[in-house]
Amino acid sequence: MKPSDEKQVAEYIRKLRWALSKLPGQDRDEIVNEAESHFHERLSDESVAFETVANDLGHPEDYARSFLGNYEISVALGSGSPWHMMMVAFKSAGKGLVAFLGSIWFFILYGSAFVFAAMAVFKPIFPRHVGLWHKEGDQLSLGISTENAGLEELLGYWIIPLSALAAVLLFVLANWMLRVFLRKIRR
Amino acid sequence: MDITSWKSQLRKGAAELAVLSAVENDRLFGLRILERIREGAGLEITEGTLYPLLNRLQRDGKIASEWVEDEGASHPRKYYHITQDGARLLQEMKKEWTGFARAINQLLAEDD
Repeated sequence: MKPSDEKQVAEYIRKLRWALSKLPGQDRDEIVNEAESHFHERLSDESVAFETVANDLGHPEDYARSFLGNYEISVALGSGSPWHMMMVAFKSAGKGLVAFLGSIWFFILYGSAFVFAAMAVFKPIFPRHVGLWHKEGDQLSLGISTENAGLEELLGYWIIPLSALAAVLLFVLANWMLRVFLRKIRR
Repeated sequence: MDITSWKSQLRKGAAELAVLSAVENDRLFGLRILERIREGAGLEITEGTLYPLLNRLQRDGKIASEWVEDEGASHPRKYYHITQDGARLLQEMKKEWTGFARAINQLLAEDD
């Protein structure tokens, strides 16, 4: 490697290391060391210019970004935590229409699971405000409400196991779909 | 969709298969993997795509790596090899790819 190349490689590596500062030390070192090794490998051929190698890798910040996106999603998937996975999905929402719509969809799924769970919890505490009511014009109203007092309630305490089951099924479905979604948006 | 965008999507889909296939029987470092993919499959994958892909495959347990100081090399090299899990995935991918290519070729032959 030419001395002038060495300076430029050192500068590229410095910028890359800085751009990867969010990663744990060992992961960052692996990426940086491999990039450095790649520069050495290609620049051992003196006909190859530093600029060519740097262009093929990309600007240090862009190159780092392709690891960071993967890393956050992989960590979230590895943790298995719905909260962590949701946060990463929301963070990716700005990256395109599909990611944005996906994030809204998961918000609705988890939100529905939460409402069903709340119904199962609140029914024994506020029995008159949680239920499935029969309203005028054959309309049904399901959920937690203070405005349905006096209307015919159809499920009684059966709403507790049914809501709990719906909450669990929605939660499992949302988790499964969220994992598939994150794997798809991972670059 | 223009041909450039279609080609780019096709390459992206094939990149994982090509990388796993490259390290199926050999331990190779990044530049050698790139050369094998370019020369063997004619796939124009850049370094900026390859290394993040290797990183992801390793994180998913499909490949493993080790740093080796080769004689004559000025720098340690990171060698990759396929894991059992990766080999299983590769077999499934090969099967899918072959079936898909056969079906598309048949469709194109019928059109001719």
